[in-house]
Amino acid sequence: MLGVISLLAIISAIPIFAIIINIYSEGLKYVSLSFLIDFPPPPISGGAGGIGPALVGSLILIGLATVIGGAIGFFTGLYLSEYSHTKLAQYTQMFLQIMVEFPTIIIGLFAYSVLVAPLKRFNAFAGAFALSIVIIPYIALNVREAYKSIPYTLKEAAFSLGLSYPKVYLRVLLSTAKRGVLTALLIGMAKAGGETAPLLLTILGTTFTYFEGLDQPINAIPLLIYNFALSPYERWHQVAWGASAVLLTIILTIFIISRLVVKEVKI
Amino acid sequence: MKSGKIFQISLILFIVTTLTIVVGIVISLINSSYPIFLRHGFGFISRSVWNPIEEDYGILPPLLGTLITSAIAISIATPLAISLAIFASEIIPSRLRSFVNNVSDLMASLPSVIYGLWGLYVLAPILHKYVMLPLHNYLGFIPLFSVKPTPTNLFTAGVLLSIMIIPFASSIIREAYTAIPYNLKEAAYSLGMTRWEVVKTMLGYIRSAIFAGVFLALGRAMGETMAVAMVVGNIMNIPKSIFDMGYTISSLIANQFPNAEAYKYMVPALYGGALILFTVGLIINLIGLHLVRRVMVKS
Amino acid sequence: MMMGKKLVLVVGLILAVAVVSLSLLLGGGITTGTVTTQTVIQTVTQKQVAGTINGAGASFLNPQMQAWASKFYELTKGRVKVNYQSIGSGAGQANFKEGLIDFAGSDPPLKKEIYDEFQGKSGIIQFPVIIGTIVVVYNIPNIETQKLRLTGEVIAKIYLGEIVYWDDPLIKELNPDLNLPHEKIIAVHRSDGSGTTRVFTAYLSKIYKPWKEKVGSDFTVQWPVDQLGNGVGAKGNEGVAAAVQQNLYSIGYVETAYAYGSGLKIALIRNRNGQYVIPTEETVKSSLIELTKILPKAHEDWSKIFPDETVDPPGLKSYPIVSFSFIILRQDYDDEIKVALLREFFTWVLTEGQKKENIVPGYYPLPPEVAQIGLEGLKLLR
Repeated sequence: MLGVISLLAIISAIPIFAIIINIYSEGLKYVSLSFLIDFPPPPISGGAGGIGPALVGSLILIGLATVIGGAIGFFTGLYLSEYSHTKLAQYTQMFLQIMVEFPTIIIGLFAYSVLVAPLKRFNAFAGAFALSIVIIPYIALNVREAYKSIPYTLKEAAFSLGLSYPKVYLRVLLSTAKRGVLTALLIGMAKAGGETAPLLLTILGTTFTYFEGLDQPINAIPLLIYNFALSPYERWHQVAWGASAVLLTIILTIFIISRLVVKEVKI
Repeated sequence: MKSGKIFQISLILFIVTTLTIVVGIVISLINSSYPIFLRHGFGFISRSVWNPIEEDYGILPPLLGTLITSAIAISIATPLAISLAIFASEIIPSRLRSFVNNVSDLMASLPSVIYGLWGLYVLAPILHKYVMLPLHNYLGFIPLFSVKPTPTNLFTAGVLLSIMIIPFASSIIREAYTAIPYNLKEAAYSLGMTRWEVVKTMLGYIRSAIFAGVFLALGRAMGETMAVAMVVGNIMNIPKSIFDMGYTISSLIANQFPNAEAYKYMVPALYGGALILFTVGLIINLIGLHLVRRVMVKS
Repeated sequence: MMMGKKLVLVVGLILAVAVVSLSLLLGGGITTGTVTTQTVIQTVTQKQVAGTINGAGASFLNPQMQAWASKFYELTKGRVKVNYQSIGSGAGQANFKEGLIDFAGSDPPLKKEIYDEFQGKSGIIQFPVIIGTIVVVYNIPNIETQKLRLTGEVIAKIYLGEIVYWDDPLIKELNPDLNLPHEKIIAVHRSDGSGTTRVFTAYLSKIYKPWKEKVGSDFTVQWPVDQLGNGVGAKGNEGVAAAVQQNLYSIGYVETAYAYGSGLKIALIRNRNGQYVIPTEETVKSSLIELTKILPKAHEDWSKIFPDETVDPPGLKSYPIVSFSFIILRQDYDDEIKVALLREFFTWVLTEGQKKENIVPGYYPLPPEVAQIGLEGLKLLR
């Protein structure tokens, strides 16, 4: 019976390996330096093209979303950990746990109605805003865990030294919670880099422009993959596979870094 | 202490920001969708219509599609998630434990669009050839398999979803399993049970954690958009078998929203779908969270 | 200590990206190759204006538009960037209505409701930029060399669900020498709002009255074949072509360029004179002779004639489903740089862009008198 369980467990792990192998074997051959810089190619005419605007766009969106989501998430998580006895904290925690499971297309709808329709323009900021909403709960809940696991004695000691509240939480305790907070941010970055639905209705996508300002359309790798994958053009398929290989590499890198960070926590 | 109060208040500002966003989303959903409920009433949910010319909308197919794909996903994911959890905590030597856990966490962080791309070009043809066609050809008399399958359909979406949600369910079950007090396991062994019998007993002990994991994974499956949109088939019809093509609410929104502003009632219709999806997901998640809390209280 | 540095590094990197973004917001943009901020130049002469115009809409137009945009980028050495996203004619018109994009690409001209909305305000300019044809493609294995023959009525009946199998007598009588299989027809259609659907259903409506009564014509329609479980929805012309490729015994409708690009088989359709035709230069030319006689001006409402009246035209060799692809602009823009860019790009499209070397296979250039409509219309830009 345990043999059956082991078999099932291994079966459930097969897809991830298959996905990684498939994507690299299909996509890596299209990736080159010019692939990372060039414009997307026209479907039929033109040259091989690349994902330059999407790559730059993704980096900008990831950065911005992590800053906004990270800031809001961090301080929210801090409150949840240190004032967890309050009703506010308890309700907020519940809300956050619900937020984690929000369909991201709904977050995209919200960003559209708040930042795209009134401004009469598809814009990068709306995309970053939508992404930050997606990652706030992950960061907040992880930061809460990070701070919660700090021994009470450390906090007592810091206060007894006469330090102010900000210094206690943001200097002393943070240095102990560093790893957990860093992991939280990295998880947020990975999520921001991979989500598509929040971008679908907000950023439009671009062909020739890398970045023209937060109030202008922008491109992103997941959006490009979605658009190009659903086409019958060989060339756009190739670009989609190549882009997937690039995206997978970015996510894997962030993931590995976050594991290395956590590794040092082993008590 | 004054700096304490100030600190607390400045933190509350961020809490308020977060809550405002959540409340804002709910309000915008209700505000943008009520016209369709005024127009169609319950018929919006109970009928299968997408007729922009007449401005007539009924989202029964996407609603059913969301439920069916999630149900397929959960049926496949539950045994696999439990197996993975047991495998990771019982069977595997402790040195390899973190490796298995990392694999599971990696599965959870993979972008949905990559699952979708792989699902469309690799999984769908394989499922079509080796699973769906044989099932249809030999067991087609069962209503479940009665429709001739195409590669992209509800079944493929369900299978893809199951792969995506296994890590969520599995990590909750795993945590609960490893938190079982060792003396309980000792007691079971001392009664002369075999390893498998002990595991079975432990599973019974963490029953609510398993339910919690299943519910939360179900909530996740219902909300998934991109991967499903790429493999589900995208047509409005009432499914008669799991091999039918269909829609889910989230893929309907992804497909139709861009052109919705050209009509009078399509925008409210799509927001209405979003509201329903949100509400159902909320209920599922609240049940799941409640169960998780019960598990925590127990330990 | 190492951890502290790592944290600072990661946070610093994120902040750096954010700061760069914000500072570039004021500057303008990053150009290829070197990272220079490009300030937008206030111009004296039209030719010196640089910037980006954002458009979206018809997936049909996409391959040709991307080719034009790419060529124009080269010609202007990166000065003029035309960003066109293929999201469907319906979405293009919807976004245009909401003022979210600078121009829309659409297979049918602007819907009457939207046209009326703009009449009190800025008014619109719409003109054809290219000619396209819609073909019916199919995927029947074992029928390699001979071509399938269909009539509009048979196609309508397939999508109505009245004809279910490929070897239906109605199809067989048109194709006596084909070995048609007894398989259910999988009818592929668009899942997103589509101008191609609008034109295709306009054809079905004109050619078979029951279609007009039961279904009608719009960007999205209620496909009867879906309710029977034999329909497949796909996103974009691209998606339909891909779906037909992947599903055996399927049928679909796409703009011709997509059929060529994916190697799908094209059905011969019977025209008004009983001839079975596919799009060629000759058959398209024949259809155009009638069409060019009735064309409105760029600021007028085209929705009365296109596409409902222009499908299935008379003419011995005419191909039944010929359509223009339109560009829709406002007359009024806040930004004079946008105006200059729009005028420059579309003037080129209507003149140089129509030359043979700039036309992608599957599309047909405009006759000069049709291009003139757009050139006249562009004068209204302000």
